[in-house]
Amino acid sequence: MSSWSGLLWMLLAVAALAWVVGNLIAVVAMPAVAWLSPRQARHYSWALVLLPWVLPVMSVTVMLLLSLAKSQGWIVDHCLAHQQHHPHFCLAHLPVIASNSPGRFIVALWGTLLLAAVAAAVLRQWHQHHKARMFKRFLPGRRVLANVMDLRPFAFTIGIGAPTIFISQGLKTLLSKRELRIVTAHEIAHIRHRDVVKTTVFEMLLAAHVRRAGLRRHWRFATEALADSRVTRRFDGLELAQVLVRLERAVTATVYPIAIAGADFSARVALLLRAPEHGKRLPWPALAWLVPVALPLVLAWQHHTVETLLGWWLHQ
Amino acid sequence: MTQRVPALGELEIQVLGHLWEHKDATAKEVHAQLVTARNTSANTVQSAMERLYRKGLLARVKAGHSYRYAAIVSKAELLGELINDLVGRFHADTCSSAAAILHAAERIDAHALDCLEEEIRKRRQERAL
Repeated sequence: MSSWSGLLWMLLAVAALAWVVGNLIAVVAMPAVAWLSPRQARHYSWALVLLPWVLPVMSVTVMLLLSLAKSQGWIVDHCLAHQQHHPHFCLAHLPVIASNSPGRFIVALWGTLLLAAVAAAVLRQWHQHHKARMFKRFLPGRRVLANVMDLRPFAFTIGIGAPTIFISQGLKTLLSKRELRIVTAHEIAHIRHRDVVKTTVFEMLLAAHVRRAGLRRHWRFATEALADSRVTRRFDGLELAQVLVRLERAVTATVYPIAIAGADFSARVALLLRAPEHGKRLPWPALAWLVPVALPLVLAWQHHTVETLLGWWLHQ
Repeated sequence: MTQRVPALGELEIQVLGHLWEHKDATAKEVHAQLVTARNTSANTVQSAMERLYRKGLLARVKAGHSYRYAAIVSKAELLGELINDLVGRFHADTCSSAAAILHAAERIDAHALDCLEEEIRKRRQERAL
């Protein structure tokens, strides 16, 4: 096997290991999201969802820079002092990797599965948005606010480029005019802050995670709670809480399979009953962003250990 | 209609819209209506109606040399299923194209709702004082 591909396999192996570390950190750090205010929870969720993406990219970048630095003599070149078959991150002494090593197979399998998961996520999002465009085509004209002749009480916003708020006839029958304004304000808050776009991107980034449900739940809750908090700038939080309770009563009382989704109802109401922006103000989001910087630097500092591990793994 | 709504193109939606208004029609009749709105050939309309038939949204009966198509599902049914698809069934967890107001998967009993409403009422009274 040619040596450039040997270097490539080593870099892929580093990416795979960094991906595993990113997933582990996300799983361990996820419970902390529940302690944070909705705004902090959103930032923290972004940091966690990006970890399995950023860590491999940063790690591979650092290893490539290290390879370049060694080949240019910017750092002490000890490649020739290593034993034979000890792979190096060095562009002057390219490694040779055994073509039949199980480690290489595992790395290839990981890469294939990750690509498949990402492709599936992108396809899923595309289908959802295609259905959203299809739904909007059933209504004539381009409107921001549209009525749906459906007896179930719901309101939702769809569309990325030109979002539309759909409110059902059932909801209009259930709520007073003021309460409908509150519901509309909630949906407008989603549009103003591009929550549909952000959630779409978030869902695609989740494809690199092994455990997604928890992070998805935290994200959704934070998104809805943030929209609620924006509504409370214009309307009383207790009024919004009352609307949510009325909607929940309607949902539990109906025989129809209610097709509305959002977030943890009781937690949202509890949040509205408390002071705004509750939750500890902790530097968790900032700390989470330190990991993508710290880990690659540690890898670079301990690159000899990494080379030894990879030599054992990819040569066996 | 219990299956998920199949993907529909713009022409297919327009054909469905026409059939919902006119009960049944041949491809030629639909084309005559649509040709003023868009530059579409009769064959294209025929193909769209054939696709809708294969997707299970239209029924057809032979009428001379052509078929008369009629919609099997009503507009309300189709939109209802589409809403379910878009916003997610109440025990599903994959939805991102919609930002909606309430999660139906969490089942709160009536007593808990009564307690919450009582708490809200008390807070409002305290504020009023």
